[in-house]
Amino acid sequence: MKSTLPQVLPVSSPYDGPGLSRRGFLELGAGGLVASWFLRPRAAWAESASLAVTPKGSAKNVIFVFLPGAPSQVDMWDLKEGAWLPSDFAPTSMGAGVRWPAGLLPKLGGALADFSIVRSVRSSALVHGLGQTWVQIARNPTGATGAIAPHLGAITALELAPKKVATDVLPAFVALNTGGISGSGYLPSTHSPFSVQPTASGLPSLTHPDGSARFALRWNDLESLDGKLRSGQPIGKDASDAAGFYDQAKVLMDSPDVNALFSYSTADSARYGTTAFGNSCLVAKQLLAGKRGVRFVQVTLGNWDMHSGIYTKGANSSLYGVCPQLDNGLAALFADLKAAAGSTPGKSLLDDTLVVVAGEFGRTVGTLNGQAGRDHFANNTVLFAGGGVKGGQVVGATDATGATIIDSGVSGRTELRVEDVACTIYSALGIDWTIVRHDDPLGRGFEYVPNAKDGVYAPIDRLFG
Amino acid sequence: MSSRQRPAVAILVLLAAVRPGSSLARAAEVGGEASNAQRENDLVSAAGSLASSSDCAFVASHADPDGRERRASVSRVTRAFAVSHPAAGVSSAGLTGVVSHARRVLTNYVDEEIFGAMDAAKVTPAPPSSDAEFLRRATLDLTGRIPDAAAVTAFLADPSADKRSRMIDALLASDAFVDRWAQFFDDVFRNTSNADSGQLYFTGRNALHAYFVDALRAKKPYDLVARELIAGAGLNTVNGQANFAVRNIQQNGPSQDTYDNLGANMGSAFLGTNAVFCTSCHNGAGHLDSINLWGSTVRRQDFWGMSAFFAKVRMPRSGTQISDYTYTVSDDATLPDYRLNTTTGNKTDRTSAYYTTIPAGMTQIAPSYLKTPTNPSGGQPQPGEVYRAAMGRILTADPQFARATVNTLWKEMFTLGIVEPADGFDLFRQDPATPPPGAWTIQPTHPNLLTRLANDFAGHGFDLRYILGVMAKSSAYQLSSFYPGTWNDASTMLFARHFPRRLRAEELFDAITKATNVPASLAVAGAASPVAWAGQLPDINEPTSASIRNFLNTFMRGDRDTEPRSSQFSISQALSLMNDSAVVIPRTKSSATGSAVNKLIAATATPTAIVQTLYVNTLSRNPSVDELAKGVALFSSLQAGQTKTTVAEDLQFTLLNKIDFIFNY
Repeated sequence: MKSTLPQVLPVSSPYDGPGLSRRGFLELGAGGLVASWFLRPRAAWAESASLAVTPKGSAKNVIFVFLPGAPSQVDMWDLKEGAWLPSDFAPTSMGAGVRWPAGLLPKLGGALADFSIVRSVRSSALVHGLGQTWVQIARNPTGATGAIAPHLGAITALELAPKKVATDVLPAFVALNTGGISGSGYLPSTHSPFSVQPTASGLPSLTHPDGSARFALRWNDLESLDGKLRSGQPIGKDASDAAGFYDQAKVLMDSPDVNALFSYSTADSARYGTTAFGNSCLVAKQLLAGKRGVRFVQVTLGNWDMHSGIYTKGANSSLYGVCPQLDNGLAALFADLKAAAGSTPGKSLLDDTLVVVAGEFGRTVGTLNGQAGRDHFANNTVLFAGGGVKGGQVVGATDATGATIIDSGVSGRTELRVEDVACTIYSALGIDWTIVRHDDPLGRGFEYVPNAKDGVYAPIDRLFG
Repeated sequence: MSSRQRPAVAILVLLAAVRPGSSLARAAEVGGEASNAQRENDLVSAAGSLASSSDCAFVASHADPDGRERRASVSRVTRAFAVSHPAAGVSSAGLTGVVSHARRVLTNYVDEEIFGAMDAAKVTPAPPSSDAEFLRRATLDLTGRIPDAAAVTAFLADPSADKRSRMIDALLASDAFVDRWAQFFDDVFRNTSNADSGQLYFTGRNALHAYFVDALRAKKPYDLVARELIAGAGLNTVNGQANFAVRNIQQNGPSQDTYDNLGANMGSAFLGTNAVFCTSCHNGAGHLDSINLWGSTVRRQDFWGMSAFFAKVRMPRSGTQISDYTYTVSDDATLPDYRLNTTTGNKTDRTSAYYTTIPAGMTQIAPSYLKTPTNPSGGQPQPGEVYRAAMGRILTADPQFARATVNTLWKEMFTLGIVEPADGFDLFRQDPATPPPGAWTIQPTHPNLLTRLANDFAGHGFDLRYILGVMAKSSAYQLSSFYPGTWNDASTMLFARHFPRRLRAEELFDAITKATNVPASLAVAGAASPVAWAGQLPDINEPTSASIRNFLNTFMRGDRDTEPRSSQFSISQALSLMNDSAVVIPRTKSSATGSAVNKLIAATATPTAIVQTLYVNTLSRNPSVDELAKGVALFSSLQAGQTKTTVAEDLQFTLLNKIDFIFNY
C-alpha cells in the first residue's frame, strides 16, 4: 500500500531543485545530465512503503536543541528526589504531577505549559560519538546505511525544497554553535548544514571587501575562466560540490539583508543569557521569523558529560554551570517564538515551529558515583514544544529512582527510541517517515527511518493535541 | 526486571587520550547482576536488542570496514574531472582520444602490480599526467606547497627524459619536505596543546614538533623514530619524543588507564588497526565479529599484555603554570607489572573475578605483544630489558608495522589507501593465500603490492624518502586525473586514474601566499620567532593571529583528538576564499608591496604577460589558448572605473578561486 501523501517530483532533479543555479542547470541540461533525471520515473528514486501513513503536517520549521554529552534527566526533567539532591534545586510541584527543579531551571519551570516531556526514551548506544550521530541520523551509524545517512535536517531540506520561493535564499538547514555535525550524507551538499558560530555582527566574509560592483566583475571572470570546471559535473562530495557551495555563497552575498538575521543587539543577547547557546537560540528565532528559507535549525549546547562533580558550583561542566545557559536561552526562545507572528492569523511562530530538545542518552540515577558524578545510562528524556504539540503534557514514566521505564506512554510499546523522535519530527513537517529512497550509492534502499515502514517506529502522536 | 534496566553501578568511561575515542568517546556499562559475559555485551548494546553485537564503534572506520563508501565517494568526486580538466588545455598530446597501452612505462614494481591488475580487469588507465599536472601534484604531495613559478617554467621547458625523476629527488631533498611530513606526524601522533585533548601544553607540543622536524631533517629511519617515541624518556621540553607518552596520560583514573591509552596507540598510530583500542574495554568477541575478524579473536587480557609494556613508566609533572609545566618521563623497574586491581576509573573492572578466562587469584599481567599473523609468536621483554624499549623492538620488527606505514604513506600520495580505512586493518584478511571464511573478502586492493612496498621499506632502512620516491616515480602515481573514457566506479579500486583532493587548510593558505608572492608571518605560542608557512605550524590551534586561525579552521583542520581533518567544501569556505579580508583579498592588491600584481604593473607588463604570469604563479601551469584569449580580452574592453591594474587584480582573485587552485588534481 502506498502512502497517502503524494510525493511531488521536484522541478529539476530529485536533489537539486531550485538550489541548482540557472547557469549550472542550463549547462547540465546541455550536457544531457539533467535529462536523465527528468526521464527517471519517480519510483526509481523514492518509494513509500508498506504502511499507509498520514503525517501531521502541523509544523513548518524545526529547531533541534541538541545537548551532547547527555544531560542528567533525573536532576532535570524527570526529577528524582533523594538525599543526593542539593536543596537549592528546590523541587516544586508544578501541576500535572510534575516535580520540577525550580531552583535549577526556574524560567523553564515557568514555561511548562509550552512544552511536553517524554520520559520513556531509551538510547541504543552509550558511547558519545555513536549516540550523538545516532540521534542526528536516526539510525545506527555503524549499520548498513550509517555511513551514507544524511542528518534529519538534510532530509528535511531535501523534502521541503519544492516549497522554496524566490526569497528563500538561505540554506534550509542551519547549524548554530555546533562543531562537528553529520552532513548531507549521500545527498548533494546543497542540503548539508550551513554551520555558523553566531557573532553580534553576523556572518563573516559575507561582504566583498572591494565592493559589490567589483565583485560582480570578478564573479563574471570566474564564470568565464572557470566555467568548465564548475558545471557539467556529476555531483560529487568534494570537488564538484565546491561549485555548488560557491553558488550558494553568491546567493547569500547577493542578499546582504540576511545578515540582519544572523546579527543581534547586546540587549537581545542579554535576554537570552549572553551565552553562545543563548545567542544561537536568538539567531535561530530570527532566522525562522525572517522567512528566508531556513527550515531546520540545530542549536547545540554541550558540556553535559558530568562523570564527576555534577553538583559542583562554579564548574563549567556541572549542572550549576550549564543549566542556567539552557534555562535562559530556551525559555527566551519559547517566549519569543510565542510572541512572533506565525504564518496564519492567530498563530504564533511557535505554533509553526516544532522545538525538540534531546541529548544522546541519559545519566545514571540514584546516588552519585565515586567522583560525585553520574555516568552513562540509556534512559533518556526528550522535550517537545510548538509545531502542533500540545504543551504541558508528560508522556511516559519511570520508576521511583528513574532506573526503569514503567510506562512508555504509547500503547503497545515498552519504551521509545530516538527513531520515534525522528518519525515525530518528520510527521510534524508533513514528511512521510516511511519513505524508502532508491537513489543511494549502496543500492540497498535508504529508509528515512529504518524499519519505520514496518511499523517498528512511529510518531508520538499523543503529543499533538 | 532485567539487569539491563537496573541503575548502573559499575561504570566504564573510555576517556580522552586514546585515539579515536578521545575526550568525547566514553562508554558506560549498565549492569549489576549480570554475568561477566553479559556485562561485556552490555557495554555498547546496553539499551537492548536493537543494537547488535557488532555495534562496538568508538571508531569511525568501523562504519565502513572495507572502505566501500570511501572509495565510492572518491570515485564520485573524481568523475567530475572527466568533463573538463585543466590538463586538457595544457598539453594536448596523448590527452584526448583512446589511451594507448604502448605509452605506458612500467617504472617499478608499483607499476607491475597496478597495471597488472588493470590488465587483468581489462581496464584502461587514464593517460599519463601532463608535466604541469605532475609537477603541481608531486610538489603538493611531497612538500605541501605549490611549485615556484620559476620551477614551473623551467620544468615545462626541460626536454630531458628523466626530469620527473630528478624533480622528485629534489622535492624529497627540500626543506619543505621536512615541514610537510612533520605536520603529517603531528596529525598521526595527535600533537596538540588543546587542554581538552590531554596534558601536552604548548611547551611539550613544540618539543614534539621539533623532534619530528629534526628526525626528518636527519633522515632518521622510521623504525628508529617509532622506537624513540615508544620509549621516549627525560624532560619532555628537551626530549621531544618523550611527549608521545605524555600525550597519552589519562586524567581522572588509575594509572592503568594511561597504560591502556599507550597500548591502544600501538595499534592506531603504528599498526594501522583501531581494533586494538576496542579491546581495551572488552573482548573482541561479541563486538568485532562483523567488523574485524582478527580483532574479534583478541581478548581484553591479550590487550593488557600490550598495556603492560608501559606499566613501569613514571611521568611526574612539575611547574606551576602552563608556560612552565614540564614532565620527566622515566622507567622504574621497581614498579609492579600491570595490576588487575581497578574497579573505578575510565574502564570496566580489571580483576580476575571479572573474566572467567583469567586464573583466579591472578593479580598482574606481564608484558606480552599481541600475536598477529605477521608476528605469530608475539614477544616479551628480554631479561633486564626496559619494557618500553622491548615494545619498540618487537613492534618495529612486526611486519605489520611496515605494512601499516606504507599504506598510510600511499594514501597520502594516492588519496586512497591500499587498505581502506587506513586505520582499519583486519590482520586476518591480508593474505590471499589464506583467505578468510565466508563472505569476508581480502582487504587490500593490491595485497601483493602492499607486501612488496612493506618489504622494500623495511629493506631500505625504513627510509621515508626512499619509499615515497618509489611511489612518486611510478607511472601509476603519474596517471592523469583526467579520464577520457567512461569512468566506472569499480576502477577506483584499481587506481586507474589519480584522485583529486581539496588542498588541506595549511596547503591552501600557503598556496595563496606563494601564488600572490605576499608571504605571511605566523606567530606560534612559545616559539622564539614566527614561521612563514602554515605548513610549519606545530598545532591546529596556531598561529596566534585569530584572523588567520579562523581562515585555516574554516578549511577544517580537525582537532587532533575527536574530530579528524576534513576535505569537504562548504559555503563558509567559498565565502572565505572570495571575501576574506585578512588572508585573501589584501594579497590580490597591486598596492601590496611585492605582490605579483604589484610587480607586473610596476613592470608595465602586457596583458598577455600578466595572464601568463598569474596563471603560472597561481595555477602552476600555462593558460590554455582559450584561457589566454579570454584573459587578454579582459584588458581590452575596460568599463568605467576599470584600469589595467584593477583587471589584473580581478584576474588574480579569479585564479585564487578556481577549482584547479583549490584542489590538488
